[in-house]
Amino acid sequence: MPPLSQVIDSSQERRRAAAAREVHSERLAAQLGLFLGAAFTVCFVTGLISHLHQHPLGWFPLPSSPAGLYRVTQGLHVTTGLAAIPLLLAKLYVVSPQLPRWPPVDDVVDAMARLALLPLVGGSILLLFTGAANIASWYPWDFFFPVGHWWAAWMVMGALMVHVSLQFPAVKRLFTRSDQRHSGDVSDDGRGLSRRGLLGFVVGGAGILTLLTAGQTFPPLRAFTALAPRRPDIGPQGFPVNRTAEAAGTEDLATGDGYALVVVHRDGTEQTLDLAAIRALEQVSRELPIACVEGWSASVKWRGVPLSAVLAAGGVGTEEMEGRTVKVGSAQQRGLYGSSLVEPDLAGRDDCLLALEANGEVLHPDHGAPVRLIAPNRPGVLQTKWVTRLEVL
Amino acid sequence: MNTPAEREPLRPGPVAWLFIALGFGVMGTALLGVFREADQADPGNWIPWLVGAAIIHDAIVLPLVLLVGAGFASIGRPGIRVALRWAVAVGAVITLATWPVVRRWGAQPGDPSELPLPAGRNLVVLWVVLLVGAVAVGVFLEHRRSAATESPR
Repeated sequence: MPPLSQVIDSSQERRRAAAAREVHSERLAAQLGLFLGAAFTVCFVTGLISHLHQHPLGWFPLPSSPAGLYRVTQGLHVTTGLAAIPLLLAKLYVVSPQLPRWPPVDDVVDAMARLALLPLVGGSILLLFTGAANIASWYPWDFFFPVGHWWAAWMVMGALMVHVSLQFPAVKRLFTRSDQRHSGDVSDDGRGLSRRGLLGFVVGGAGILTLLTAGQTFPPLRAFTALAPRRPDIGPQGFPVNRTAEAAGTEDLATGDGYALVVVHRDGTEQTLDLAAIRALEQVSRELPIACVEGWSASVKWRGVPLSAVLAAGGVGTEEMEGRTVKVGSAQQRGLYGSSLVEPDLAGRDDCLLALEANGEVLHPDHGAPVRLIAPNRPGVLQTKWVTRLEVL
Repeated sequence: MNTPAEREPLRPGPVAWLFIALGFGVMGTALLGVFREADQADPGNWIPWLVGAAIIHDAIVLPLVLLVGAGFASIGRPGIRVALRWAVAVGAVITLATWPVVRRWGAQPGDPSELPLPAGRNLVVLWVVLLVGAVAVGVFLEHRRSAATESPR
C-alpha cells in the first residue's frame, strides 16, 4: 500500500491535470460566475420587491401601478431562478477540481475565502431547491418557506459579496490579459467535456427549461407550457386557484345567504352591509392580472364595486379615509393570509375592487365568492378572498 | 491559467476588505434572523438543510456526474459522443428541476388547477426528442467527418 504522502501527491497531480483543462479554467469559472451573479441579483431584487409587498415599510411605499408590475417581477423571479439551476451546476462543475486540496488552506485569507464557500454553495443550492419545490407546492422541510428562503437569500448575498471581493483582482486580470484568452476548444484528451460542450449544456438546459415553464406567466410561450406547475387558463372560470373554498372552510359562504360584510370605523363602531346592498352599488369592470408568488399569473376580467365606494356605503366618509390603511379580512378559517392591508393610495383607486364577478360569471367559490379583493400590482396572497370585514386603521 | 500549485495568493485591498466585512456582516445578520425567527425559520432544520445541500452536491451529485461523464468518454465516435452527452446532460438537469412537478408531491385534492399538466408524459416525450435528436445529429456529424476525411484536398 503506498504511503499517504504518495496518495496525496498523486491525487494533487490528477487535480492539476483537470484544472489545466479549459473546461475547468479560471476564465470559464469567472464567465459563468458573472452570469450566475447577474441571475442571483435579478432573483434577489425581485424577491425583495415581493417581500416588501408582503411586509411593507411605511417610509418606502411601493407603487400601485402599472397594474401588471408584480406579474413581471415575480414571473422574472421564478423564471430566472429555474434557469439558474443549470448555470449553478455548471459553475460548480468548472471549479470542482479546486475544491479538495492539500493542505486545505494556504493562509488566513485563503481560509476565510474557503469558509465563505460553504454558505455560498450550500445557500445557493438551498435557494434554488426550495424555490423549485415551492412552485410545485412541495415542502419536504420543517421551516416556513418564505422565512427560510428569505434568510437563505441574504446568506447567499453576503457570501457572494465576500467571494466577489476576494476574486475580483483575479477576474479583472483574466478579462484584461490577452494571454488568458481561450486558445481553442479542446478537452485534455479529445474525449472529455470541452468548454463549448459545457456552455452548450448551460444554454440548452436554461433555454429549454424556460421554454417549457415560462408560459405559466408569459402568454406568448403558453403553447409550450409542458412542465410548469400551473397553466394560467386552467381552473374555474379560466384561471387557477391557490386555495379552494373547501380548504379554507368557506363553502357555505358562496350562496350569499346570510352573508354580511362588517365595516369597522376608526372609532371602533361597526356597520354591516348585506350582499344585496353591495350589488346595488354602481359596479365597474376592470381587466387586472392575478399574479401568484409561485410565479404563475393570469389576466382576468373582473366586475365589482370600488373598495372606496363600499366603505362609503358603510358610512366611512372621505375625511375618515384620508391617509388611512384598510385591513381587509377574510372568512377563511384555515391557512395563512386571512387578511391583508390596503395602503391609502391604493384604497382610493377606482380599480381597487371588491369583485363579485370574474370573466363574465358570478364569482366561483374557489375564487372567493361572494366577494373578494382585487387590486393592481399586488401578490395573489394579498388579493384576499371571501371578504367579510373591512377595518379602517 | 493557474494550477492549484501556481495559485496566486489572495491579497485584498482596503476597499475589498470593506466589502468582505460587509459580506460577513450580512451573513451574520441572516444567521441572526434565522434564530430570531426560530418559530418559523426552525434553525435546527434550516442549518442542516443548508450544510447538507453542499455536502450532497459534493459527495453524491458531483461524483455521479463525473462517473457518467467518464462513461461517455468511452464512446468512440466523437459526433455521437458530443451530441448524446449534451442530450443526457440537458435532459438530466430539466428532470432535476421539474421532478417535484412530475411527481406531483404537492398536489392538493380538490384543486384541479394545481399541477394540472401530464408532466410525467411530457418529460418522457422530451427525453425521446432529445435522445432521438442527439443520435440523428451525431450520425450526421459522423457522416460529415467521414466525408471530409475521405475527400481529396
